[in-house]
Amino acid sequence: MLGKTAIALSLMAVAVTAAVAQEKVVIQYDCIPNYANWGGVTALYKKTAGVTVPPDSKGSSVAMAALEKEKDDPQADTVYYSGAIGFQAAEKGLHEPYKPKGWEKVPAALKDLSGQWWTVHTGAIAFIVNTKALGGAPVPRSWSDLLKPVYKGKIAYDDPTWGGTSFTLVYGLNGLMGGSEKNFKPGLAYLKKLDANVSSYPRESIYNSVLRGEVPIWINADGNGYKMKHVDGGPVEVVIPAEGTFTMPLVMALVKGAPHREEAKKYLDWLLTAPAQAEFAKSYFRPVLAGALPPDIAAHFLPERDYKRARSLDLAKMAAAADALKKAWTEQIRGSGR
Amino acid sequence: MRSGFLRRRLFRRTGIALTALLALALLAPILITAAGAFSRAEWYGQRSEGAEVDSTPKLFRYVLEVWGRALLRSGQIVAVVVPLALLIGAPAAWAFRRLAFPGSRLLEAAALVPLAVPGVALAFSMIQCVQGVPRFWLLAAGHLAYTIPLVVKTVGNAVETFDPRLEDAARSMGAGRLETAARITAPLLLPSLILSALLVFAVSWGEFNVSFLLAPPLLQTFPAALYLTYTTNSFPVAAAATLVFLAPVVPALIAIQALGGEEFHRGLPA
Amino acid sequence: MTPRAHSSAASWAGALLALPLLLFLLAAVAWPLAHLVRRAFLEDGEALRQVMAAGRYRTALVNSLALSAAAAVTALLLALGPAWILARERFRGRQLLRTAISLPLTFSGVLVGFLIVVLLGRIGAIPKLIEALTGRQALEGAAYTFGGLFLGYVYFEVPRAVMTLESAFRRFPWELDAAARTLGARGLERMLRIGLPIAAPALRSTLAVTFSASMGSFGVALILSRRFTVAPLEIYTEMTGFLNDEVAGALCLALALCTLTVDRLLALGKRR
Repeated sequence: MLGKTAIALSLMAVAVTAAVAQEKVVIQYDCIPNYANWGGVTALYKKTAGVTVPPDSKGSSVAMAALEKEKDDPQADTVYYSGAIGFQAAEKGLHEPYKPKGWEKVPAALKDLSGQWWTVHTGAIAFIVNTKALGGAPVPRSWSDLLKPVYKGKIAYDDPTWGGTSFTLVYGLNGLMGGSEKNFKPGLAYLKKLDANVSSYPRESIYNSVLRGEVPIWINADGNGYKMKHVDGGPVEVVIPAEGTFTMPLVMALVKGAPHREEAKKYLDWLLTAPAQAEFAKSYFRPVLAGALPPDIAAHFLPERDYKRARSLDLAKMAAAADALKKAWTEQIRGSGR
Repeated sequence: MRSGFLRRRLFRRTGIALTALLALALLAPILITAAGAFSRAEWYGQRSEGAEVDSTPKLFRYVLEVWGRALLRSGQIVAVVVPLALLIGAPAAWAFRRLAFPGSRLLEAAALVPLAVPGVALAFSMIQCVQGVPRFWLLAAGHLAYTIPLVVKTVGNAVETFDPRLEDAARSMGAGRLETAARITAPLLLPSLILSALLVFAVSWGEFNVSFLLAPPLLQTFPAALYLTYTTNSFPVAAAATLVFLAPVVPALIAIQALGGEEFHRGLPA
Repeated sequence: MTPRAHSSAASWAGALLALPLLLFLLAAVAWPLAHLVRRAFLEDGEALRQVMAAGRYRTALVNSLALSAAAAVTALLLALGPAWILARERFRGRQLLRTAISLPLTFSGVLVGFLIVVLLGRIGAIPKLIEALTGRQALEGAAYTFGGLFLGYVYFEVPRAVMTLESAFRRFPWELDAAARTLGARGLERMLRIGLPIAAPALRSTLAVTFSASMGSFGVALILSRRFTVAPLEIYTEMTGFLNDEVAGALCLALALCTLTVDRLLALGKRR
């Protein structure tokens, strides 16, 4: 009996190993299932092309760091970043220039003209508020609202040295408060004050935590908030702050020396097709292809007049200031690590 | 005298009750988690996971689909680490007790040192200095560093308990060294070898620190998958993944207990 | 058991059998660690100084040490009673309790972190229970505080402490205790003058096991630590975020040295 069980288990193991060995994979760094519906997109690709793209929890900056570390022995095929980090990574020579099918349809402002990176969808920074978890406090409507003591311990934004969305937030806030790519003082001063109300700087996506009410106010991409509200049915409100906010392009690139180069190219091509873009739209990130945003989903966004307050940021300047700003944030805000 | 007896009984009763309370406190969160995997309650985040998990079998199937590769990797690593740990550790443990050579005590103590080295430090230093080695074998080496000491201690303790004169008797009756080893030593050592195998299995299956840092995406083991479900998935998925993780180790633990495994006190690295 | 005298041929055979172990330790443990030491001291000495100076890194190391020490002592205190009972008393359900208490030994650090969140997260079981019973909100999100991390460490350590102490208590020479009682020594005196000295090695080895497990604890901290940093987390951040290998290496060295030192100190004077 024992012998038979052992034989059966070994046969199963061999079968599964064979299946996995034959499996076609494309490795994407920064492929968080709950962010911009990568879970749904990769599942759709598996159904369409039979290729698996496994989840990867690296944030933009960590993905770039990993690529740098693996320069001599690349492990990733494709990578997804927030625009500024993608710009920086391209400057470091980590990408192979590639113009996917559908290249012409991407607006010139949203891509690197030599093919080092291109936008697949865009988002805007907003407050994602779990109204039930606020515990009676009013929904904040502006950046200055967030400083009020009533929100103590209720706010979170990702560590900007980990994720690109947060880095966009920090850089953009600095500009909003009067600073520039050479002067970080105004932004850091505000963030220092905000630090009193922040409960944590996660280095991972806290989508589910916010949905469950563990974190009442998350400063992140608006798409995540809309999805929580309309797909997961959570008690969530998305707020575009009164003083203004920032849009960010989210970009893809082909990694230099990708192990599965041909499959990676096919995958990148597919991401700019209508089905893929529609899948991105399901998570309320605005697809880069014009006309790919279905009207019923578009209806759930906040009115256009709110989005007039969202400004776009200069990617080149952001990339140039990235290292210094991240360092300054770590020293002044993360500080001595209580 | 009678009051002393009553006092002792009270002391014993209270002690047992407190011990039971401790056991309950330790088990409570795992029971809650198991309930989460099997409950039909609507949990936040399920719908957007792209899984359509509305029933328990589908939930487990989703977990296996997404994390199947990690499960396989864990299995592959364990399949390599268990035999290697036994092959490297058991003969050495026997030699330390029976065929002591100059420096054997030092070597035996040295074999236990890795247990006091934090996994993060070992993983980091391995990455730094061994550039060409395939990651799979680096990973196996990391697991071996934390499991070989268990084998050495377990087999060593067992060797100490049986009488060397049994082997002497066999030799004096004309049996060759190999025959003695096969027909006397091996059967006597078998329980400790099985116990060692179970210990190595349990530790290697749950090893996270070294694996998380050393393994590239395609080689990530199941504990790393667990981490991802805890941080990014909804509660039912995390709970189901936990149960999948525990399914092989709980029987192993019960078997270890039955065989009197003392060396599992260190358990897994944190 | 002292090794018996035997021929030099037997010694050679022994050395041969132990050779794979020696080679493995040299290649997989000694070589990388030596490399770490060399880099930290010779090439990147600056990094070591940086780590030791005040700041995030030193705080991380101090936090690790403080948490590990506190958790080890707490776990030991919590484990004394149960270990004694399990070792000394026979009762129905004893094996069941032993299995239940040792079950967490199979839990990886990340799992322990998750379980603490299940208990004490913002919508954890305990806050929900408190709210249901008293209508007040308390302990929400306690999992992510210093106390939560500490609790995670203790949860991790208690099974180890119980099982280590239990096996030590089972080997207790009870005849000594009985003899002392016959000679008239009272309970407290017996404990202090006989019990403690005999138990001391067991207590020390328990502390060593739990302390070193805590110092290396990475999974628990990954899940639970929000505003508090511990050394393994800083190493991870430096490795993956900043590519700051020099600092990461120096931190690794500092962490490993602290752990090994305490481990060896606790082992001093222990009879084999």
